[in-house]
Amino acid sequence: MLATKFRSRNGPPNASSLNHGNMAHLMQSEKNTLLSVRDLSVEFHTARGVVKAVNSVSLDIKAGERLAIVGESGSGKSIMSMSLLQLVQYPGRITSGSAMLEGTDLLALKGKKLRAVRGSKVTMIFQDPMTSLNPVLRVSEQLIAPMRRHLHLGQREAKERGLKLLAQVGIPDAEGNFNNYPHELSGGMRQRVLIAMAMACSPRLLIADEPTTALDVTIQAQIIELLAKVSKEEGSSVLFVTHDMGLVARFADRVAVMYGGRIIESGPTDQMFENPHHPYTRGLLESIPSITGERPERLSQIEGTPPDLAFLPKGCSFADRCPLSDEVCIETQPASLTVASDHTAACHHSDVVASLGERRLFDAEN
Amino acid sequence: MQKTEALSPTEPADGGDAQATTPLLRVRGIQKHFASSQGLFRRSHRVVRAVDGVDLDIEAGKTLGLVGESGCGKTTLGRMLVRLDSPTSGGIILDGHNYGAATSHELKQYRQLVQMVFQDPMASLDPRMTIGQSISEPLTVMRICTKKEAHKRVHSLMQSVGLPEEMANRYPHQLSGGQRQRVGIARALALEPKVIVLDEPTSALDVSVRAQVINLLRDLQRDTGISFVFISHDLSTVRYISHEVAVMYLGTIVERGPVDQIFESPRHPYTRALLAAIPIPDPRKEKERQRYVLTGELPSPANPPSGCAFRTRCPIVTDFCAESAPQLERTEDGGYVACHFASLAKSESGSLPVFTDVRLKESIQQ
Ligand SMILES: Nc1ncnc2c1ncn2[C@@H]1O[C@H](COP(=O)(O)OP(=O)(O)O)[C@@H](O)[C@H]1O
Ligand SMILES: Nc1ncnc2c1ncn2[C@@H]1O[C@H](COP(=O)(O)OP(=O)(O)O)[C@@H](O)[C@H]1O
Ligand SMILES: [Mg+2]
Ligand SMILES: [Mg+2]
Repeated sequence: MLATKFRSRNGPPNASSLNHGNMAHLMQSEKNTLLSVRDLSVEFHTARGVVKAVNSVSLDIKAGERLAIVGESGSGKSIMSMSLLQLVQYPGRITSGSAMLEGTDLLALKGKKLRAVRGSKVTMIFQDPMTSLNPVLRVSEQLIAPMRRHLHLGQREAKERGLKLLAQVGIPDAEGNFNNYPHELSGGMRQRVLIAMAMACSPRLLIADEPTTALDVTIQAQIIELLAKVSKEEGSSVLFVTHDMGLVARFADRVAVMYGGRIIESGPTDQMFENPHHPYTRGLLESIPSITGERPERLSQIEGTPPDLAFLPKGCSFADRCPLSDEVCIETQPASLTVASDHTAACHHSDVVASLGERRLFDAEN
Repeated sequence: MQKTEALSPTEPADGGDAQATTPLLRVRGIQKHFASSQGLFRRSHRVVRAVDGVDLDIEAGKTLGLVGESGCGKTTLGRMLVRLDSPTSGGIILDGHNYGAATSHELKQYRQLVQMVFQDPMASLDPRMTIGQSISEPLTVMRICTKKEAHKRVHSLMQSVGLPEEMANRYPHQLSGGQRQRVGIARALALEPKVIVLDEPTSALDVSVRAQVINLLRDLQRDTGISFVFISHDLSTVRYISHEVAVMYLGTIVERGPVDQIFESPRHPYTRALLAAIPIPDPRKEKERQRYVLTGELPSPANPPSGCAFRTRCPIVTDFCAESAPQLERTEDGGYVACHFASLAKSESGSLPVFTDVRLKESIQQ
């Protein structure tokens, strides 16, 4: 149980849950696959045409693993993660694929069985906590209800555990805040409440969609530390959506980069940063100014705009922004190929990208 | 209450050192107090000290970065700098003239010289006006030139911010976020100001687009010698674009100085905590890093702590900090810091500051 695994919150500051050696925390848990997504596609039928928000996405998450999904806004990160819990709203529709979690296809679940998985085995937290908190219910009621439903706890037990959870996610005066309404809490505190709710039933998978984007760096650091701690102690896997490469470096074991509704590169975090094989990944990394070291005269910039998902080109969807693109790129969509151990990239010129070394791929000129 | 008489409006902020240049824009002891209308009863009325005695210098052709958690008073300070709001007290001296309590005629002149760009370009642009109309509006409102001349100016302004000419007839909703922010910048440039205050101009933009806007700002500064006040919580961008940096906490500046000094040898515990909280987009550095996570949240400016405002979250707090508010004092390396124990907080040179409360506490006890 969560409660027994928590120790004092006042450990030394460098005893960080994030300072895992190379996935050291995975050693204890089995290294098998928890979630296996294959060929997932989501479409929106609109007046403009069919918007292909998610395009044949495949990914695996191991037990206890933290996978980051990165990409610019509109690339399909949220729709992809919401589709795993069938939360995509009309006119959105899952048109193909499967998502196997411990022998069950999440995409095929219906009714009672679907509700039993949501909120217990697989939970989700969003960027704006208010979208998942009910403004007219006290924190206590929202926290207790799922525990009674999924864990079949009595009112007293559920309340006790709820209070413990609030203390564990770092909410001061848990007793006092227990009876508050969501609007009486700060943004950081609301996100903590959501994490408590999401962890209440010890989920196998926690999906966190930009959980810290609306928060300050100091509060963000607290929340990330907390997410790492609770997921590690529960052995939960985390699918973490973000556009912040710094957070990826801090938090993720593996990274998948989305562009135009597809995963264009994925691999272990270290490899992705040190030796990216897709020009888009490379561009993302090049365009971030460093917090130490040299300041170049200009930052690398990726020209142009992301593709219109209603009119995806027949070739590579990054071709019109890519300095390496040629005829082949415009004509044929690159397949996702293994470029190194556990590392895939979908680019006709991944070898060129990989051999760039210190040289910049993206021009800083206008 | 914090006294700010250390520097009079005529005294240069560098304490009278043999510096040849007088800053273009000087801010002395500026305050903004809001009447808070919380609670039903009169006795619960409180004053919100949003900005509580700030001194700043902005050099011609340079960028001052302003950082701090949300709610610390950055926007309020920025709005006073462009005189959208009038200060409760204090001086704003531009080119030797004090505009702190300016007449309406003087204000008109001032507002021409100091412009503002907002975070959300959609909210600051009139949805019913075309891009061209939006950009030319300041020119015609201020009667700087005729409609025809304004039309010409619009085209050169659009060119200077990298917007294609044909976009002049489009409406804000037809543009991307990055394009709208370019419109905001063009509009601010229209009156050829000497200073532009940019309030989180890139926070709503994707990384790759952010780089485009930052490059644009650098080009504009190089070509026109304009000064910027760059408000942001994106510290790596602040480091990239700023010459000087000021760190704000609960309405006051707790540290300011040359950018490299702030980032490489910060003195104030709050500056150190902010820097420690930024995730570095490099997994190796992230793993090696000792991380100090700042606990708690920003106190309410309606009820600030006695003595040092940061003491409630400070890892090196002593009893003395509750009694006496530290003043901004000059450090030997050219910055200013407001902490009784700043001299203890010197970091190992070169590396990013490591900040553990344990170590600092020990060094105080010795
Ligand atoms: N209700 C909708 N109708 C039509 N298209 C939609 C709708 N919701 C999302 N989309 C499309 O799905 C794409 C992916 O959206 P999303 O997953 O929210 O992106 P991200 O989270 O990466 O910013 C968007 O570019 C958009 O075109
Ligand atoms: N018009 C106002 N009336 C009352 N309080 C205000 C007003 N504007 C800002 N404040 C308060 O002043 C403080 C500083 O706000 P702000 O300048 O927006 O901070 P920042 O831009 O750093 O996030 C906050 O506590 C905010 O609630
Ligand atoms: Mg999203
Ligand atoms: Mg603000």
